[in-house]
Amino acid sequence: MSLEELLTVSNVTKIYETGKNKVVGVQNISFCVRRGEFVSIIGHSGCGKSTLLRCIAGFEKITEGSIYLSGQKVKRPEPNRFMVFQGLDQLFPWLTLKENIIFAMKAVDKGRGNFAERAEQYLELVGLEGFGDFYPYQLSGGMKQRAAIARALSVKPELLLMDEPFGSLDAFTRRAMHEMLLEVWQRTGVTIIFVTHDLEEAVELSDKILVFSKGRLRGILENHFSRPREKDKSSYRSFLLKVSNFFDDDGRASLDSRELPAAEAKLAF
Amino acid sequence: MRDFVSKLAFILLLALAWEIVRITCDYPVLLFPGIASIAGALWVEKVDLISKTLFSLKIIGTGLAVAVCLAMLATFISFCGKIFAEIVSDLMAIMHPLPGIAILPVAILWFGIGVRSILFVVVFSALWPLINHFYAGFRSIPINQLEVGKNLGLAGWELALKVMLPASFPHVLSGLRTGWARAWQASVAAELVFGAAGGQGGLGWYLYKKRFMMETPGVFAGMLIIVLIGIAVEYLIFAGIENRTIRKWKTIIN
Repeated sequence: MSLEELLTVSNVTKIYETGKNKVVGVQNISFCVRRGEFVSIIGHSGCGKSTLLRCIAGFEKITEGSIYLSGQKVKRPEPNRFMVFQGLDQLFPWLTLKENIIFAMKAVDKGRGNFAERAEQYLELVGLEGFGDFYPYQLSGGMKQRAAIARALSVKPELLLMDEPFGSLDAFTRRAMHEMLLEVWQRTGVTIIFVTHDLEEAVELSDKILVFSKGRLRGILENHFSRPREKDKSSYRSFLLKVSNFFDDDGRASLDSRELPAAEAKLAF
Repeated sequence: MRDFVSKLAFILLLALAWEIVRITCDYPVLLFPGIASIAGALWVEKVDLISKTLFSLKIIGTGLAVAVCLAMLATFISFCGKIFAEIVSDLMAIMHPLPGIAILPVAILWFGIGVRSILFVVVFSALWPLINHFYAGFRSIPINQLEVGKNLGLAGWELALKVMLPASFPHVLSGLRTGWARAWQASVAAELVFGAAGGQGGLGWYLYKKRFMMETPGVFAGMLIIVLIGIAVEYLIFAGIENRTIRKWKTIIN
């Protein structure tokens, strides 16, 4: 893994103004992501993790701070940061899987090319070979999300943004999706930011875990366990337990930002 | 095929009921003509009926095409900013409840008696329901699909035509159905009210003449043609589009 910095988020604050009310989405967030890294953002629902992801995607205008991707300031949605959503309705229902991917590739790459063949390769990458002529309604939830990931990768993004992409799937399907995603990540070398409220998912998938609560970044945990994760190991179990101990029964991070560096030192073996 | 047979059986049943009522109640031909005399009128008047039908279809086709373009434009503009959305929805609130036929007097003042007035009424009648459906459709697009489009760098017309239009197609199609029906109603109503100028007229004008001359079988013949065209357009055009689009994509129930 190279150490090149891909994404730099500095002092980002997002405040929603609804009439007279001001609601803080996220406050004073700073971190960076290196090229090729797999980063998770965890926190309870409403903690601002999705808001931050949408700011990085360019769907939301940030109130303060700045976001740079490879030295370029993020202002609007662009295909170099591509989002995969939680909803199972993100594929265009009027296009087959192959057409969905070709649509994306053509929108980004106006030139000519053997789009059909490339689309087939991306379907194969996510384990959907042979399903190119199916319409989205003919697929299961897991297959829809696989297709959405294939479409996202087909535009060759520098950063893949995933907003709880497996949140609507059952536990068995999720496990298969984790395997698939890790394989895709290793084969393509794409950088991923993965938002989830599932601690086990975050620890299993990512190198780095950003802990969010109440709109603030409470700490960054490095996850140094070797892949594939040996989940039976007691050190892995205790790491999971410690991560979950960050959150009290309300699901709120119980440590404030001053305490965290110390805790982090203990946790990051 | 079974579908067709059952529909045919239903129509034959209706015709039978019609004849039973006519014969048992012994209504005069002037009020309640029999199937045979209506069919006779259809045959005798076939040349006139065909030319009147073509005239009506031309006006309705032109009016509907203009209305669809205007409605698309209005819907697109209303997505360009909050102020435009408010203007369009205010216009809708004012104009939609106004029956197309109610602006006929104004149309006659502006355009005189003739094709242009009818066309104006047809466009006006179809426009508002079209905008209503298109606008509702564009607003009910799944946000994820819209954002995928934006994420791909699409904006403006490209986003509207490539993502928003197909994503809202169930609404667009029901808008077209309503627009088509309104256009028919408007053209027939307009001609029934003031007839036609210079011998040019459509089926509304035909109904007007036949009623004026007390040729009741002819009135029913004209109505029958309107119904038949309605059925043909529904089953040949709209159902065809529906089967090739939203039914195939399963973006509607059933």
